Amino acid sequence: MEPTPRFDLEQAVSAWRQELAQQRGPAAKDVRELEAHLRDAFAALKKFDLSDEEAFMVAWHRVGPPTAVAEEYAKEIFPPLWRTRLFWYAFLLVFVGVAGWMFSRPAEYMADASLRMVKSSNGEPAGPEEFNTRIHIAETWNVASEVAQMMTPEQRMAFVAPFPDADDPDAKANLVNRLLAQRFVAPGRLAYILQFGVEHPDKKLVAVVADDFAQAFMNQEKIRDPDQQYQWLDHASSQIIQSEPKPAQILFSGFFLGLGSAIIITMLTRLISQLRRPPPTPSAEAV
Amino acid sequence: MFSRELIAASARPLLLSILAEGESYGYALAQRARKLSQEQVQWTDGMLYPVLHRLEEEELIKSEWREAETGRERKYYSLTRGGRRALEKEKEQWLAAHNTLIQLWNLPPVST
Repeated sequence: MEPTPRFDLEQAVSAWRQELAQQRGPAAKDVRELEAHLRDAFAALKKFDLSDEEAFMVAWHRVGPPTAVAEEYAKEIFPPLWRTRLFWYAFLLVFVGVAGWMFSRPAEYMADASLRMVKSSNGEPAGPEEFNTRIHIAETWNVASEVAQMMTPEQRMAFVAPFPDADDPDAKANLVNRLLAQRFVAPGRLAYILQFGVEHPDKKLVAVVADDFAQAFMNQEKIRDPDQQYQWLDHASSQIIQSEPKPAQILFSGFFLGLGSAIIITMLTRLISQLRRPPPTPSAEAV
Repeated sequence: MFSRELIAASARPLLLSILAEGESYGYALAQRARKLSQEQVQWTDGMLYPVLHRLEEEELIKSEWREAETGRERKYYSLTRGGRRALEKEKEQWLAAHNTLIQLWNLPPVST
């Protein structure tokens, strides 16, 4: 009769570990954890007066046959988290992308610009002068037309200026590029430029409002509708004048426009401050 | 005797609830579950770990290898704050399911 080979715990654990490691599913760290479990179970069972071999066998069963345990690891009980996460990351990325695109769209810019303007006092034009001013470029029609509707003859601190060398496409492009390239916020000194389409040369004019300009300005340059009509807002009569401006007439506060004409002048900052002011309390007479 | 599906589904709230009592490690968790279920949940201990790892991935529990009093290393698991919240949710859902069935079986509902 052959003697039963003596049970060696370390040998048994090692064999078990190897068997487990060969399976698809558990990684090395999982094997380490399962081994800790096996040994814990073994130690607990030893307290019940079992032999090493008996305790090991029970512990082995408790942990589960390596093939079955490995199967649990390999199986996708739940959809793997990375897949769920990937979905949300992708969603987030798209969302951020879209939001970023929307917010980064250059609806408005601030820029320094040099404008050639004729200053007018008592009807006598002086200049032209070079004005370095901070301007605000808006690329939307909506802002412009809304503001134009709200404009009143009292809002007389506006001036307009065409792009310099309106017939030189490079100069126009350069100015636009320069204005667009320099993005910064104007501290206190604000002006508005609105630039329009390109099909009519005069449409490349820009309109500027500077709320710290206390005086009226006039524009030396021609400003026309596509139909070649001039439009001036005469601030003395509050009339829109459709003729070639004469120095005496061009003490204007700004231009008005119909669709297709070149200029809009705004008092956006004043309007904004008006909007911010609390509504007036009803007076006693009104009651 | 639990079906496999039920075991798999209940493992999550079970482990979260045991860990809510305090940190623990694999073998102790299995023992506690075994005792609580009065041997009715016939799972092999090895089944626990994929569930534990999943919970850890979801950051409901966290783990740490530490040397135990036996001198050997053990991986200890404990509940995170997110785990506590998840447990509350699990509790609500299981009790709701339980109370739904119990009405049909004419048993008193459990207060939630």
